[in-house]
Amino acid sequence: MLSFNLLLAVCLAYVLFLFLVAFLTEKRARAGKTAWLRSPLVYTLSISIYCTAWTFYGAVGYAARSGLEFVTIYLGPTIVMIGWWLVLRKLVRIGRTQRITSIADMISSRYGKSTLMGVLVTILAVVGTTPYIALQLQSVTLAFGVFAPEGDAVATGFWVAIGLAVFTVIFGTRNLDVNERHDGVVIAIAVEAVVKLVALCAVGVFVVWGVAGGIADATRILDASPIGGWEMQAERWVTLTFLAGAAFLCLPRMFHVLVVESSDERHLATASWAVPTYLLLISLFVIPIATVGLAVMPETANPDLFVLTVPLAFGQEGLAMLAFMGGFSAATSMVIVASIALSTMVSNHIVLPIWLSAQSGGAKLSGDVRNVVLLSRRLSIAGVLALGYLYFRFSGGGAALAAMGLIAFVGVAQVLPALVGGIFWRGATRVGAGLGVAVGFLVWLYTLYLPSLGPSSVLSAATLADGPFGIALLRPQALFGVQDMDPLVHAVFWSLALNTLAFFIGSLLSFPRPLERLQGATFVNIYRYSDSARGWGQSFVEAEDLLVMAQRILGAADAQALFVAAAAEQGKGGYLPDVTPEFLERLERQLSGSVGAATAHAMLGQITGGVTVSVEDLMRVADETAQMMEQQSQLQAKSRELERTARQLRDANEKLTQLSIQKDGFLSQISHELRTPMTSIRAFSEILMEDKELSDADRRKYSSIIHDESRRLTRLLDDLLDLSVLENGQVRLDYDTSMLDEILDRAVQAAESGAQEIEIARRASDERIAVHTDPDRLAQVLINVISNAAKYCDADHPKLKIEVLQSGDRVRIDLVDNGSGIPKDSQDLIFEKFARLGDQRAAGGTGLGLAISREIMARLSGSIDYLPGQGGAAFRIELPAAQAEAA
Amino acid sequence: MNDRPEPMFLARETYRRRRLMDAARFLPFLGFFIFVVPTLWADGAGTAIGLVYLFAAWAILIVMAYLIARPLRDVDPQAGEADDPDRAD
Repeated sequence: MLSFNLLLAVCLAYVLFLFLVAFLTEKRARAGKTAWLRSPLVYTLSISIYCTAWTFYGAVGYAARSGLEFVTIYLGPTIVMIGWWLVLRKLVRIGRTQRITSIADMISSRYGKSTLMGVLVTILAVVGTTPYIALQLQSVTLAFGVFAPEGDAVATGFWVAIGLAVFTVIFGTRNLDVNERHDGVVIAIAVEAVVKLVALCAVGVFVVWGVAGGIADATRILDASPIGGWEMQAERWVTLTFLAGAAFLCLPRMFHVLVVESSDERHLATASWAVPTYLLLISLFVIPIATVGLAVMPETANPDLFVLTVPLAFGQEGLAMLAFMGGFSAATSMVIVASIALSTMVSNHIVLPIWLSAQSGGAKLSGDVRNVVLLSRRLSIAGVLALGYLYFRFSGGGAALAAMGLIAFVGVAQVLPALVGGIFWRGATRVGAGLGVAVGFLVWLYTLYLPSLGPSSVLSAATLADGPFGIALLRPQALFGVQDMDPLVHAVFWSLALNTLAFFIGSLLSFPRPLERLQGATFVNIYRYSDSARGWGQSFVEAEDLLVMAQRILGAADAQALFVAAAAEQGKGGYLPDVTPEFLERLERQLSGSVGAATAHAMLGQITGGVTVSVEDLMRVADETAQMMEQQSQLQAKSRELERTARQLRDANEKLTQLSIQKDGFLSQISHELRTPMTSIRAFSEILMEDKELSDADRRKYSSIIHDESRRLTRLLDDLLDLSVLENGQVRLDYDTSMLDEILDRAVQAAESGAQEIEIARRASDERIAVHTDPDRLAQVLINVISNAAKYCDADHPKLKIEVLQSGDRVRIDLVDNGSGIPKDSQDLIFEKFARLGDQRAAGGTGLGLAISREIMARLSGSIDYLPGQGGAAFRIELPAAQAEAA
Repeated sequence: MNDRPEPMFLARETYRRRRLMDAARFLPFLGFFIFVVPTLWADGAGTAIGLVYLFAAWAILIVMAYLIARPLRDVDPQAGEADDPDRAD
């Protein structure tokens, strides 16, 4: 038989070995050689702390009692791992980007960095983990008992607890950089994972091939054993599978290795099949060991210890020692990680908030926060282990290991609705999550945890049997009259159902705070924006105060490096960056890696005077933005208007310049026009005055020249007057409805009275059209065009064709002669004042006729245009017809 | 979200990867189904048969998880690529 002392020596040697491994690892990590430390294999092995002493000893015991049901404890996690793409990937991403330190931090951070949620989850985790730690103590104690039956179980448990506490404090809080990953611990855990797998498989191989004599014989023994038939309890099977999966996600230690210690998201892809493989291997030999144990061991033997007792019974002391080391590894690794995770939660969510609120002067005036953090963590580790020991000491003690593990599972699974709801549903609120967790926690306490402590420890036997105060409806293990249900399934069903219901209803009916909504959006849409939401407004705090605080949490070197980097990014030298919301955000995330999101937020809030963003701030910002956009668009409109005005002014200026040029031209032309007749009048009147010997014929001739010239002058002045009246719009028009042929008759007669002869072709039948116009003015225009044709038509037998056409309410008069017409480049000019083609002054025109005609037609709502391409000079006059009076 | 219209169809490679992601999402449900099926027939059956069924199913699931996880390991789901249900497929 192995002696107790030898066993103790081996244990100590093993612990020393682990310590060495951890020490060397951290030394290498500090040297920057972390490639193999942070490999998918190490990640996978660290996740195997799911397999605790409960797995190592308890699974065999469980199998010996209930057959295959034990395997559900590994099927649930398998489902979670192979479904990594759905949930775990998101959790790890959130954990990495938000620098989550624990599951309580995760929940607290998601629900608006709520201290209350952090406290709630921490309490739940502590209460839920305590039985589990007790379980490890019990298993180690029992294992010691196998080798040294003379030992005192309670004392052994005590010393193991003390040993583990010291061990964990040294390992878990060795790092002063509390937000760093615990590389040493993780490697130690990985080593222990290998030890426990090898040990269990070695025992399994020994049992199957060494004891049973091969697979065929083992199968025969199995068929003959009490667990040879599968007693399937469907409700327990499904519930346990689900529960194990839920616990896998929610157990503080599992969350710690899965999310907090995760160094690379891609490791998850490897772990998704590697962890199930590990689980498969570790449960592969459980049934063989159990059946062989049942077959070869006496009935009084504890099936929980078959892993040890079967090799011992066959004299395999070395194998038994290996098995013991495996169990010891399983127990220690679980306790180490669980107490690190719990101590982080306790110090970040309970101790620090209390300490902070006790510091009336604010965080910046206090002492070194890091010492407080580390001290509180060490004390928390001791406290957690003390609680575990007390539970071990005062609980049933002899209760089956598996039952205790399951009780813990149900407790921590109460976080599941808040956790999963929080990362997939933006509508989940703090109130809902708080209510859900609280309700689930209370139901779990009432229906499972307290009854498990024994019939008369907290709940009296009478209460258990008949309900509190005899109310049968509230019996702890038959809540609301649900009887004949397995107590565990009953507790899982009611706690999670009421939990989810409270979570859902609470979320629906409450309204989240702004920070909560920001965090909710960030968590749910973590793949879309991996940056955290802005939680800080503009503040007026001094960067120096922040540096003082940060140094006390992060350590002087790290804090200074952070500040220098931030200042450099802002383009500044020195240690003090501008306190922008971005900087505050970054600082908070750094701090939350050390002390948790809620505490970091609260500490920054104390210094900055709580300038967290509020709905009012958001609305004000939105308002300002809207105003600025409005102003900008107004400015744009104004500048467009200005441009338009400037363009108009430029146009007007050009027009004025042109008008001025026109006016000058007009003046010089008119003086020229006036001067020619005046010159001849003066010359001939001088001749008449001075020459006494003029013949009568000459005198008459000269007088008639003077007379003609003065008539021409008069006509010129009349036309000018007419034009100016027309142009100024001062003309009075005498509208009348008259027949077009009468007007044409008048015009032709008047024109024919002039000197030149022209043959005029008309079609009287087309001309019987009533027009509403000023007949005299229209006649004036017609006379002008006809006499122009008579004057300028260069054909041998001048002819003018007048065509009248009515189309709709317009009347068109085309006057086309048979001359050579007007050259194309002059067609635009003929309506200008004094425009004459060639020198035809002899014709006696003033050069204003067409200009006047155009003005008249414009006043009469008509038009006169030159009509090109008609063979000769052609003018088209258009005017409105009289209303519905066509002949 | 940008305003650029998403293409209606994706290249074959991207399409395969999307389907792989679908498979990754579906796998846990398949696993649960496989593990729960024994509740229908196991009562009274031999533990040995159950042992063979469960561990064989377990091994098959692990192989499937391996085949799916390997190509997905290096997919970076930045910008919601993997989680936007409104995308083209």
